[in-house]
Amino acid sequence: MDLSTARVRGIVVLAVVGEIDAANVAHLRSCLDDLLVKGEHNFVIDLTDVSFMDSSGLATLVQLFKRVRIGQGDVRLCGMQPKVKRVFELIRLDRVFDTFAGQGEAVASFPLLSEPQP
Amino acid sequence: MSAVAVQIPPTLALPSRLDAMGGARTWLDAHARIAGFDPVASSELQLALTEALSNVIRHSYRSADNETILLSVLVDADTLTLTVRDFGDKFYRATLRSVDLGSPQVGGYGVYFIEALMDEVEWDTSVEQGNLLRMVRLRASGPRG
Repeated sequence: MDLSTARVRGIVVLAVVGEIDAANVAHLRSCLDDLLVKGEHNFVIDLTDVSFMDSSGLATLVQLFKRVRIGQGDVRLCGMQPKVKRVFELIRLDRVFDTFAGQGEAVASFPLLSEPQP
Repeated sequence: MSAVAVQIPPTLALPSRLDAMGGARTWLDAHARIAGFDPVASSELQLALTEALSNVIRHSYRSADNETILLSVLVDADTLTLTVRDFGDKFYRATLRSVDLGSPQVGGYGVYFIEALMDEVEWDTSVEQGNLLRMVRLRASGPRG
């Protein structure tokens, strides 16, 4: 699994590439933990290039969702392939997460945030 | 030049390591695709297998990485049958709580996925040591969810 992060309009855009399962989910969790420690609380997770996700990946996203909601933040998803989307639907997480076709729409769905001062 | 048929073995022995799950998914995908399952259905089978393997490694084998898991797949006219055999601690399905889909949880979805994605699921704990999980998916059944 490869991860890349960008900051767009004050929102963290995290793009995941590859398969997410219990063998590598710690890498994703660690990356998210680092971002949360830095005070980030608005996320777009780009799943365009995720070909497989198991329950450990879902659990990590649910945990992120619960943590950012404490700070009035949000997690929005984009680019889900049909077979990944099906997994979310099976446990009704499609009703929990707002999902978008691409990064642009997902970022634009957040209210305008002020960038932190350097 | 004559074509060479590629034989995918019907059984697979895996080490009890999480990083072996990807190879098991590739093996199952090959069988599923040959059997005519479409990519989404194959992905569902792979998810059920992954959850089963993850449970065996973390619970039956308590994350010991030097144990063995035996897989088999059998395809006939109507079904694909997948078995997962381990030799670790017994798993008793009845002891698990049911999943509350009304509120998102940070875990506990593994067995739910297995049972939602397969048409028949049986945990056989009568084997002398460990567990034998038998999962059946009808070839004619459509996508789940």
